[in-house]
Amino acid sequence: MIGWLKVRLRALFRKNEMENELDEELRFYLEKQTEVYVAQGMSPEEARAAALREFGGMEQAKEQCRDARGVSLIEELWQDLRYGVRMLLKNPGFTVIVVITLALGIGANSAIFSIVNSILLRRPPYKEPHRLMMVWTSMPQIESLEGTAQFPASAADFIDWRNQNQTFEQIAAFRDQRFNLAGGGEPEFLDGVQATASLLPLLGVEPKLGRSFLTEDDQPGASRVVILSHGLWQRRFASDPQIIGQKLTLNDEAYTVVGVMQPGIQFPSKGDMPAGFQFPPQVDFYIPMAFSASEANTRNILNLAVIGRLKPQVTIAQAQADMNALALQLARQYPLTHTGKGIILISLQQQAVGKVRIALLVFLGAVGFVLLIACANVANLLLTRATTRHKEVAIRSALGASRLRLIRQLLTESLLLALLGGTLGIVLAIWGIQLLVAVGPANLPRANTISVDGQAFGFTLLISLLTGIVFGIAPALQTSKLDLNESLKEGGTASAVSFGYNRLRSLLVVSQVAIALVLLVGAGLMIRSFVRLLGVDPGFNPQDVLTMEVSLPRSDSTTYAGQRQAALFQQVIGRLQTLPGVLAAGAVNSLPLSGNEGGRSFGIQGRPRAAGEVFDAGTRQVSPDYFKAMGIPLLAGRAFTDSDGSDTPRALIINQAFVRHYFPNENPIGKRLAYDRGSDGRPAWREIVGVVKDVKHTSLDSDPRPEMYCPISQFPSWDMTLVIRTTGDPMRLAGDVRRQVLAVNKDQPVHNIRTMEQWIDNSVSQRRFNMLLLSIFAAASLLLAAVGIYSVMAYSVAQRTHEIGVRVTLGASAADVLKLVIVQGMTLVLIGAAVGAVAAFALTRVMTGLLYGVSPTDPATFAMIALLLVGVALAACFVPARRATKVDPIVALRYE
Amino acid sequence: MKKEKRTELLQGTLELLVLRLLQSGPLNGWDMMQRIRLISGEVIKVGPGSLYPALHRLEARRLVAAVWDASEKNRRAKFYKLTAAGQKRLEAERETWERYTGAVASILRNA
Repeated sequence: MIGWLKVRLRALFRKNEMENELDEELRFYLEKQTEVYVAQGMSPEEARAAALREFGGMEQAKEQCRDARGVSLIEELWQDLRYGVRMLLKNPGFTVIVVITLALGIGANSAIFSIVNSILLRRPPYKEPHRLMMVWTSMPQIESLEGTAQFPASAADFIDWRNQNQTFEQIAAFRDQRFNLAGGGEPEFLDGVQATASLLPLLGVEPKLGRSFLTEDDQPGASRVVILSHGLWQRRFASDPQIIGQKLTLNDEAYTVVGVMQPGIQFPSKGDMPAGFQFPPQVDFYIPMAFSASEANTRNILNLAVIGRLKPQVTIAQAQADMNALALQLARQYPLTHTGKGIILISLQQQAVGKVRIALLVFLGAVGFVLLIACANVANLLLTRATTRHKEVAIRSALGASRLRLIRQLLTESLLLALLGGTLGIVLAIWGIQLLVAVGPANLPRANTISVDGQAFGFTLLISLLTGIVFGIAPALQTSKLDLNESLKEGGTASAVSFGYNRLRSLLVVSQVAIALVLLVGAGLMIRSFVRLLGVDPGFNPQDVLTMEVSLPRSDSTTYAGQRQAALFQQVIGRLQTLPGVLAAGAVNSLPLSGNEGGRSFGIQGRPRAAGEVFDAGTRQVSPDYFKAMGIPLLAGRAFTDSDGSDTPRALIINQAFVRHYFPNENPIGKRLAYDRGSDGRPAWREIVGVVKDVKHTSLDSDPRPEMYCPISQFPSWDMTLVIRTTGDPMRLAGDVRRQVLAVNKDQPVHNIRTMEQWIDNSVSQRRFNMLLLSIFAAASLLLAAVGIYSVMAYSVAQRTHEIGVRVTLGASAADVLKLVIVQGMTLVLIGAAVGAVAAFALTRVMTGLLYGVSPTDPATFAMIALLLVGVALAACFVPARRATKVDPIVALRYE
Repeated sequence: MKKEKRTELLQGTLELLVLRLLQSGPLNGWDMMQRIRLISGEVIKVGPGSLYPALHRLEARRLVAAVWDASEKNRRAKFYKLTAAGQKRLEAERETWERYTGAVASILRNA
């Protein structure tokens, strides 16, 4: 083995020496043999020639000896590399074009792979994440209404799940919690998570400083403690290492800091949770959740997200069966609230990526297609170059290079090009990702973890090598397939060879066109969906509306309890209405398209509910002028007024969907319904006084659900968003509005200052991102395909110059020549388009979930895209065709 | 180009012959060719175009080893000698060859 290695290493590093030895050995033979022939009476020249002849071919024999040494692979690779580098340097224009083409193709793939890898493939930063399950309530009765299958749990349900399940090692509940932090600087609004003490141990997460929650922390009456996020600790407390044990004033209560979370731990990620169940984009803190006695018995307020860690060896199916049994048991125990309710388990991983999975896979496919088209173009360029290289190849093969050896040489060059392209591609990918994350939708999950890492480098290397083989193999096979005699003939244009080339080129054009059509159709469908979406009537007038959130401190103390909340908002709104530039001012507890959704079940007076039947609608609390400020038209009855107060009859306004769903054939005005109980413990009946237009609350692409609005004075809320209709640019008024809030309470922070148009923009950002990305890929593919068609046709025209000259001499007009070339080109294009249309028809199905208001096989889109592609292809054919008409027959014929 | 009529040798056969020639001592390429011609009574002629690649193949497989040595008139020449592995291979190949030719001869005689 060592001997073998020595020979090979010697071959590699002492190549010259071995080469000299070979020369000397053969020279010895030649001289001996020449002597023999001279002795036989030949002249020295004749004798030497005769001896040489015996070799058959000196160079070939040498080549065989080199091959025999078996070291050729490494050595030849080195040779090929040097030769390849020389060839690439000799044609810098060619090299630059190819490398850039490949860099774009490979870079796009690396970028998308990095995103897919970070989002779909990387494990969440928790202990054994595959055992983490989200546990949701399912309510098949209202799923169809809300378009979602996952609902939170009530506190009582959670306690039953925790105590009675057989399959979870640990189970924890958590929910969004907001605090106003006072003291030590500006009042600041914090958004965080309140969770049972089991959450952090369940995730397997330890704080960086201090301690985790203890089991006694989430008992009623326990002292208030808080764990800060790493970000908040750094930002607000300058990474103070002495922070543990300090007291913070949160919502007027003193909390003791017991820990600081690890950097990079954010549970839950906002994007990971289902829509309508809002978590902050940035978790600032964690506090323990204690259930009061009344809360522990509440089954009709669903406000807890639940996560469980499966026992080892327990499968998802076993756990699901366990929870199904539990759900049935609860339904038997509480038929009124639980009939038909189920429990569904979704793995945390699935929960996180489910929403973006299809889009990402579509992107991955799309960039793969772009790379294929780029490969086709490069293969085309290589083929063109091959025709100018056939003489060089012929000489090499005459000198003893086998076909395999030639192919290896040509492939080495392709791989060299591909690796250069890949290197540049990685640079482009790093930039590209920064760009994508910057313009990407705000709720792109784990956006902060997306980077070009080792895996992405490996992937890039792999696709670079694959790319090199894919675009290199066909030209290499063609180039090396030579008839020596034909090629070596002086002036031979290798017509026999070019036939094969042309067929290959035609195939490349057809496949380029087909792939480009698939991508274009995909992008076309996305664009059409997006246009449809923007054309949707949101139900309100988003122009010139400023919004900002005000969250009052939630506390057990009576500072803002009940009427004080309403009064504060009333006071602020009253001041706002007098501001110059304000047309109307109102407030709502959750803004349309903000992602905050709350639903309540209710009863209708005089209409008993059957078991399992659910009356459910979204609820919102609004100030009297909210509808005016938001531009929501009142369709029947009256709007709320300032006289709707705590001491007047409770009033309710519903939307059209509510009417359609619950009062299809009745006049709803005057009907009474209740979703909570008054202070006397009896149902708080509210009378419907008006009907307003449907508003797209969840998203522009979802159907409006039944909604009820009640006056804030009759159902106070801690969190309200001020809605101010202005004249002119709403953002100009932001400062004034904020000052009015501070004038009422100097410690009251405001946050989330945005215009309504920004909210709309935000709500479609994911779709816009998808559309933009796919459109960029499609445009790139169209451009590449056009270049491909152009180069093939230009080459074909150059090749047929003589033939065209003959035709012109025989009387063909310019139009005839134009037709000749265009027909040739467009035949290929149309075949490609037909193939592409069939492929697109089959492939766009996977995009169904990404579209809105457009079928994946929308004939109009297909037709328009086909027209676009054919038009561009026609232009690409036209340039070379025009050149063909300029052929001077005299020159063309003399040339031969 | 005039082509000499030559008895074609199977590749393995040439290697077998080379190994056998080297059993009696180191030889250079030219010597080997002369010996093959003489011993075979001019029936087998091996050209340098096949011999040298064969020698290099054997060397690469460590069946023979090469040394540079002075030939007559003090000229440097590359001499090949049999290695232990080459000796073993020769014995094995020789046995195979004899069994094979014996079998062929038997068929030719008796069939």
